[in-house]
Amino acid sequence: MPGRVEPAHAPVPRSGGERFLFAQLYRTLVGVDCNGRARPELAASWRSEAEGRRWTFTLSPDARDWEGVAVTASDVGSSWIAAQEALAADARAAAPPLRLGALTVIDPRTLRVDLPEPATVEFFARPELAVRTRVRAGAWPVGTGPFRPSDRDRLPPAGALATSVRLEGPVAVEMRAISGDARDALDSGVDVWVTRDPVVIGYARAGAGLSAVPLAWDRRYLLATGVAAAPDPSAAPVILRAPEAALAALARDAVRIEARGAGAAADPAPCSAPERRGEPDRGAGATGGARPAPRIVYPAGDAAARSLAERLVALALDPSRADAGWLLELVPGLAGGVGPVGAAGLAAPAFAAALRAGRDAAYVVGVDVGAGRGPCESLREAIRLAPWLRTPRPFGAVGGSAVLPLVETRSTLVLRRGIGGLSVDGDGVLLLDGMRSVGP
Amino acid sequence: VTFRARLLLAGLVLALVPLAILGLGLRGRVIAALEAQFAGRVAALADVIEEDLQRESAALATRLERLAEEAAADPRLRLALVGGGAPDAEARPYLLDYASRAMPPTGLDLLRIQDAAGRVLSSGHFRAEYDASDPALPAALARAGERAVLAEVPTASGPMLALARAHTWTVGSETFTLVGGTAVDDRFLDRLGRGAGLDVRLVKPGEGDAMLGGPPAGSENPSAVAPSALVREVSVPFVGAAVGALSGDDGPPATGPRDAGPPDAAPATAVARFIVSASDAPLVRMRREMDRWLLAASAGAAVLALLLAAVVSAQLSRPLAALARRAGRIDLDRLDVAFPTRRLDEIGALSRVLDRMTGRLRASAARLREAERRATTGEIARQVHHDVKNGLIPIRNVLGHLGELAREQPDELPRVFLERQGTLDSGVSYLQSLASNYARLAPSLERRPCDPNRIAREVVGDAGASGNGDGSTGARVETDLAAGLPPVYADPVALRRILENLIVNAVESLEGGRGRVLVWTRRVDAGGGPPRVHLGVSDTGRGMTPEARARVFDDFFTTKPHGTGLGLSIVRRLVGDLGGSVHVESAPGEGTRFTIELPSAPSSGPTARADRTPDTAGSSAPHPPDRRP
Repeated sequence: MPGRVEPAHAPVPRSGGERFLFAQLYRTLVGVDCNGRARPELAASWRSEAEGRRWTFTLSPDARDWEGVAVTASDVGSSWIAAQEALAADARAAAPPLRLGALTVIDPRTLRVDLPEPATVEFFARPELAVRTRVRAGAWPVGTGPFRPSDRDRLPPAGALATSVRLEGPVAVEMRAISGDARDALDSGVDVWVTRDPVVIGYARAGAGLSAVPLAWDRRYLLATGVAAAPDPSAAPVILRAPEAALAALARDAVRIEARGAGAAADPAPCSAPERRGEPDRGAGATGGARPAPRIVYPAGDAAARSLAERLVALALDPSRADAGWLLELVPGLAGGVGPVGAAGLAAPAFAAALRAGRDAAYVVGVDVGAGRGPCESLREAIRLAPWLRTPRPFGAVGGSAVLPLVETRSTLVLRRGIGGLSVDGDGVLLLDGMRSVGP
Repeated sequence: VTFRARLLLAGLVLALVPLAILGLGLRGRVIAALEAQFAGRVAALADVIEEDLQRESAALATRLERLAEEAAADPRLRLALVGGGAPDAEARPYLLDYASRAMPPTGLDLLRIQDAAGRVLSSGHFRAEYDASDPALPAALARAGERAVLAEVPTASGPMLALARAHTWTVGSETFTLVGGTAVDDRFLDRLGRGAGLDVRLVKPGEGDAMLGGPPAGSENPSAVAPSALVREVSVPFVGAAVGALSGDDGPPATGPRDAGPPDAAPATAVARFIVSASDAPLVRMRREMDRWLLAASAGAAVLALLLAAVVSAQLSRPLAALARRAGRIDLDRLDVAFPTRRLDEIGALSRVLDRMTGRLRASAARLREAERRATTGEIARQVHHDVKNGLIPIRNVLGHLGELAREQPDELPRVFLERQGTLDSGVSYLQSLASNYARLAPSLERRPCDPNRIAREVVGDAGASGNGDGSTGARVETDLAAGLPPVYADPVALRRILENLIVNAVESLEGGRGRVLVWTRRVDAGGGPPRVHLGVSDTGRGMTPEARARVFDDFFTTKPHGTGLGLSIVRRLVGDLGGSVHVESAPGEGTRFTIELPSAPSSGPTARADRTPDTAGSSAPHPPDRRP
């Protein structure tokens, strides 16, 4: 069970563990499969108007909750409003705020939603938009998923973490929080394990009875750089492009987990960001006067971010290398200063504060990608974390900001052979298979 | 400067000077001994550190040798190494992570695998360093031979200093170098110092006195430098930072980019120094502590000295002060002061001198008084002779004239006698008055409580009866007496004589005998003390010039043709004998006002106040009473 699980958060997940658990308990109107295609979940059909700003969903007649009661449009609306309120109230929430417009219940099975910004249907696959029907004091909210907690009538008190959850459904499942070496856990009988650790993946591949299945690319690492300036909400950061070979080398050698260069898949047209490829940016990032030694800051607990930051430091320290020139051309702020560039890992709160302030030469930022979160979404997430990225960095001008996509990473599913089918959602969430209709 | 102050100062000097000499001498000796002890420890530790560095170098060589043996026996590593710059997808991660995996079990802080060209194939201390080119470090290590080299190598978070050795081994036809080292950080320096209370700092070439370990531990002053005797150095070869990022702009050539020249070019020999020094903090502390004790001892000695000097000076100065007080009481009227003593010292001698001097003064004063008395008697005798002679001259003339008539014109005698009888009476009267005045020069007083109002009324009544204030002469003698006046402590006869003299003097001052003489009394309450009584005589007569007013109370001073000049002199003496004072205000043409202030009788309590209390109660100059017609 990856990450901490606080059952009181149901059905809006705040961590990887909750995302996995709640995905089994609560369903959304639509889902996204691992190929990125939308599929019906609670909704039987949908249509969009006003260029994606208005969406009308018709609920499936088979959409029922744990107690067999049909899910209504009012249930969906009240769930979404509660999710909006929960995310707005939780300042620590990793997910970006949920912005829904007007909700209109046309009939018990039809719901219309007007969005403030255009969206695709994948937007409604966001896990925060999972549906529950009734809320009972001291009990799990009544869910719409194929599984339900065995102790669904007793919800642990708010703030309590779950170390073990038993699920009833098509199969009996127990989810446990395990500390220690994952290889020991697999040897002790754990059937399913999601990991990024190459050692565990290698162990699963080499061992008998285990399979290692790569999941979707679900995390993207960006290098946010530039200087802090007054944010301009109407502006967008410049998207830098590193040579694909350099990004591939980064993904292959610098990051010890499974990774690929992020340049190729990044930033489709809707982001409307100016794009540059390997053009020198003289004076960018300079603030005048003697600057302290530049540093690349990364979140201390993120091994991939650390590897990337250290590799960038290694390249910046030796500008004469053939494979390092692109970096100082794109991010000249890494050269200069009164000392050599260095990498610094900051604990989560300190990193968030540093990123928001934007006083360092560059930041390695990891953002989630997946269902409902395309490249633009990841860019918006980066801007949410670093508001100064809204300031564009014009060519040849001093100041401004830019984003350099580095690599994308993914997890690997380690499962015991013969335990039955599993499926993976578009955002990499594992679904205990067998109860879901797959594909429209 | 007083005698006592001099004694105190002398005490201070006597106490402090020897103490300061003793304290400073001891302090210098102790500090010198401590410095010598520290210098010995520093030299010993420097030797030990040199041995430590050699041992560390040998240990590094051993570890690298074993690691090379293991590496040679590792087929995956062999495959990755032989693959050169393009190992396959499986082998490359193994090669990249080999150094970081091998570091913990070998206990190394620095580990690199570099090929013959100096390219970093695997780096344990900086994993992302791979593919960097750094031929200078293996070359420098090869040149150092058996000695370890202090190398400055990059890490992701900044340069790292390490004591490094190298070991080469061959895979196939290619030669590789293992560079391993131990981090030289604060912990390493502490370990070298062995917690001996000494400081071990590292100074890289070009850093001057900049130090890795910071200022000496415990030194309260960061800029404090230990005495040179307390510093020893241990030198090791130094290889500066790799590639430009770690070299300062002002750094020496040895710390510049290693790839600036060919790989086998011998760089200038650079040396880093381990500086062993004894922190001067204990010395500073000891010095401060000794200073504090010295100061405390000085302060204590000063206090004791002051106390002792105060006691001694008090013993010396107290009898002197007593002598001074006693001598201060000596006056011509107080020569009965004695200076008895049994002391045999200088104070006794001084007392005896003063006693003899007072005795001589007493004898001299007696002789003076006798001379004065004789002089005064002679003067009075001359005056009496003069006055009597003046009084007798008209009488003698008249008697001579009458005798001549009796002989030559006896029948005219009765008529002429009647004509000259006035002259005779006047002369006799003058002589009577003169005799009366002389008789009053030496009155004897009998003081008792008496009512000044009653005496004033009697005197004024007598004055009216004697014709001095009747209407025939035009002089009016009136009274303005305050009611409820306390009794005064005086001789009533003397008081009466005072008033008589003043009234006579006032009446005689009236122009043509016309005018007004007012006798008045007042009660004066002054500042909570016993009340005093003002008794006065005012007139509307001729008044006096300032010169005459200044001499009015002198003996025999008079402005009248037939005055004796003794009336007001007698008044002054009598008033003085009664314990009072007399005051005169006068101006030509504006009359004269005499005010006598007398103390009230001791038993007199607050009685009814005067009918008209003067506005200026307590003033020594009362307002003149209303001038009534």
